[in-house]
Amino acid sequence: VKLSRICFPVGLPGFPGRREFAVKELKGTLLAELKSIGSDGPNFVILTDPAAFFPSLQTFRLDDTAQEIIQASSADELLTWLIVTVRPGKATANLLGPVVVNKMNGLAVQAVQKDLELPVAAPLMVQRDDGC
Amino acid sequence: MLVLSRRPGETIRIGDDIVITIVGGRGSIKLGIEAPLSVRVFRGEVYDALAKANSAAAEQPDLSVVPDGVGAHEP
Repeated sequence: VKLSRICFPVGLPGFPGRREFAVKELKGTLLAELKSIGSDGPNFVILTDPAAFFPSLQTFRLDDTAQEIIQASSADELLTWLIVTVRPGKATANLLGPVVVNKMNGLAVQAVQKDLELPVAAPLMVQRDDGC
Repeated sequence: MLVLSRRPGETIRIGDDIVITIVGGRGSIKLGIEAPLSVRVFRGEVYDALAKANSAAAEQPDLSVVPDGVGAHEP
């Protein structure tokens, strides 16, 4: 993550009025925090490298409206993040609504994968064998 | 024009503030929607699923409870 601040021009479902977020990397992880600027919340945890956990996932789709919202002109300019829900002993990632960020301007949108049956809470765990 | 098929009782969400509910008719109804590109149109259940997931994600206490291994770089 190189952006320190992003803006959701239309907010996120459930939080339409919250637009500005600070991005803070969590060192040594593929996670970052999104902290609301100018209010107490919401704050989110995001996975900045979805492919590391979901290698079989195809490229996320960005519909015309989402492209317009973040002024996307080239796929090379886009970052895809997943919102992570953390509970004691359990973490899940939202694959249905990835956050797509235009790194050229810091604009972001929750890009709904309308025609795909992707889960909103896919388990997010690293499988490790003992002794490795 | 965006075309969505809906059944009675199902909804369409236009932006964050407008909900259209199919209250009558039989079987599948096709609706054509033209809106500015900046206005997002969702199937109601998709919007609700995202709003619920976002609310759950925003409620997490602190990151000390992140299970070991989650988000760690592969060795």
